[in-house]
Amino acid sequence: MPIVHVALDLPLNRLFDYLSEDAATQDVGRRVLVPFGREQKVGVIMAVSQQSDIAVERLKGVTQIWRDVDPLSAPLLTLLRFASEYYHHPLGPVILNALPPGLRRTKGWVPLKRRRTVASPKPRACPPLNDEQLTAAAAIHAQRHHFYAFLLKGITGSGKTEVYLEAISAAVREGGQVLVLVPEINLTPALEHRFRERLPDIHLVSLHSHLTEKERVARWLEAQSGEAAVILGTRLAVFCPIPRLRLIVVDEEHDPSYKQQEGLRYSARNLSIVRAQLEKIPVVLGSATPSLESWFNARSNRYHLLTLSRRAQTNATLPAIQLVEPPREVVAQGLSPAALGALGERLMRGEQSLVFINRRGYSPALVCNQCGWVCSCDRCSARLVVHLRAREMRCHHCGHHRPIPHHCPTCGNAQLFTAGEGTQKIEARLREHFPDARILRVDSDSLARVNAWAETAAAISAGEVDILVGTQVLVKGHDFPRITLVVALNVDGALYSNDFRGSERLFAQLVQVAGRAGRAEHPGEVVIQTAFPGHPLFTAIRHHDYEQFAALELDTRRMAGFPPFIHQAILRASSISEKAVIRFMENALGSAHHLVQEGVLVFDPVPPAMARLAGKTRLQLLVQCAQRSELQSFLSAWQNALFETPESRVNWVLDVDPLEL
Amino acid sequence: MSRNELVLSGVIATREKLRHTPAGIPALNFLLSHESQQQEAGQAFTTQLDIPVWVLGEAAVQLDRLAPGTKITLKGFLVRKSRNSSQLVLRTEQFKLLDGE
Repeated sequence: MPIVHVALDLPLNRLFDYLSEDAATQDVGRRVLVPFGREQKVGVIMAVSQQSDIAVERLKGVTQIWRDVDPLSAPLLTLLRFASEYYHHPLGPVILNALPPGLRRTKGWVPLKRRRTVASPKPRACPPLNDEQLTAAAAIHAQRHHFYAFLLKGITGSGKTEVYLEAISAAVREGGQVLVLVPEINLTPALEHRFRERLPDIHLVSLHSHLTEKERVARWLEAQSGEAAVILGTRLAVFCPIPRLRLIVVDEEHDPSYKQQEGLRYSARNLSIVRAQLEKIPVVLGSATPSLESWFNARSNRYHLLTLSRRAQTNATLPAIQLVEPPREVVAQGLSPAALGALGERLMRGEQSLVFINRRGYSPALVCNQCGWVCSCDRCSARLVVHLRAREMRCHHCGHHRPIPHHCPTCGNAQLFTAGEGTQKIEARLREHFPDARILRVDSDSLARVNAWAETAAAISAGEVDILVGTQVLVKGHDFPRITLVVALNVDGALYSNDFRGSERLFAQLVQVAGRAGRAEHPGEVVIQTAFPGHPLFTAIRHHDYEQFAALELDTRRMAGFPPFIHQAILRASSISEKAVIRFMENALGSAHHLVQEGVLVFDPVPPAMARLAGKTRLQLLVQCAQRSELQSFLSAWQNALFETPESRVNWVLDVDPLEL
Repeated sequence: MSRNELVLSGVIATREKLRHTPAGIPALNFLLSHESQQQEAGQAFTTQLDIPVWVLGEAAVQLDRLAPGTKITLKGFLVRKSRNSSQLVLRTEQFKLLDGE
């Protein structure tokens, strides 16, 4: 009788064998219901054979093979196997997590009765492309039958999206499907609208985690059947089945949200390169501030560089950037006189301004200035953030919250102070200073309601807001043509961050923020408040010079032996029991030293910056190597050793190419 | 028991806006200008000082309604302004109006 080898969502590095009378090789990639212990589990058939390492009489039979949905295709299974091997995550969870949740239910799946149809917007003609845009689009089209990685580097407002649209419509005209990845869920509606305007006859689906379960399955199936020509999605869409895939576009490729930070810690950007390689198709990574990894690859000719050096609208210029060192006495107030002056001017002229501060809440700390007490989370190594609106203290890491303390628990002092500013405090200061201005705060707290983003965006576009105060959720990729002034506050923290990627992120963020100023007919101005106006990073920002910054930063990385000049992986472990996690790490270090080959450097275990999270003690162990392949073979051996010496109550994961140390 | 008690009269000089602690308790900061005659070494001595006063609670709301220049007597205690400061402030929740004096 045929034996099916099934991937199950279990943290074990193996498949499970079952008997099935009618299974055939065409069932590879299909969902299957199998008995496991006392329950039933959904799995995916990875192979069908006549053999098992387990005696046939001990094997159980499958409960049901579902044939209502096409199987996962061989190329997709290859990609998933690669992800499992490269990220050293068990195959079962990798495969099962590639299915939309609706297809992982033990009850099977019931199709949607009625699809919600999206009203198509009025078609809009393509604006004439400039020579750089035409060259880029033509270069992509020319490589349509090969694997080819492009890095499309275009300054903010240079019309990268128009290049994507041109390349996408060319691929679709030839009968292909295109995958477009975007970093942020909030960006999908705006981009979807723009795509529908410009590609009115093309069937487009967007795919992200905010869809209902059934809706997500329906869209996933439309991609799998080939019905959908364009699949626009967040990082999870990289695993979507797309049989006639001809082009992949990764917008804002530098964005950290392409890296999943739990479970399978994959980089959707890197996997899209692998997928393009497997499918022999071109992939376009687009950004105004490419990640240093991608920039380095372009410089060493592994990627082909396409440059857009001018703003697409001929009359639009880049904003003038001013660095303001606030006088000492106003540091506590957040806003310097220069910033307030610039905001006042815009109010007089009836123009919109944006104040960027990447910290939500009222203030990041509640302190007692008599004894030095700081209000901290009981469960994390973190301060509780004052949320004055909600009248509570909140932990931004574990979700713990409590009322605002009336007095200091150490010395009894009732005159407690907030130290530092968040969006709410800046909003309050601006209301005091400009009582007649229409001020709107936009952060993930204000956007928590359903439809909040749509309402907010509409109010901004209609000019119903004078001053916007917001975090990065406001600036990521959105285009608000009425904004002529951007003020960036509280940016210096990243300069002393112990994370070597801190300055890279700050640079990308500031370029993106600055890009919000003056995109249409009005020239823009940017005011960055910093205590270090002479810092080389700010010099590069002021000159809009990514290449200067990237060259400096790559030199530093080369000297310090950081990525992209070295490849890293981190073993992260956590446990309720401090002893257990220490014991686990000691064993892990022992086996690493035992297995290590020449060239792989094994560091000692250390606590991460967040040494405690949600009541768990955390430790991490960094390993690195100049050769990716050597690091990979070490990790495989190490991972096996780690599976063989389990420590109860310890969760662990290997994070390959970690974004955060 | 260590004592820390101060009774001081004077006029309300510069005053900040009424605010609230993060937990919502009303708080008012102002400068009290004090002038009095003291005896020292058998000699009458005219003293003058300004001291920051931090008021918490209902008294802060009431004091906020008084015009600058109003004469008051405060009863409170001395505290350093902050952990790293040598400057003292008078903290109080009690005051009396000194009318007609």
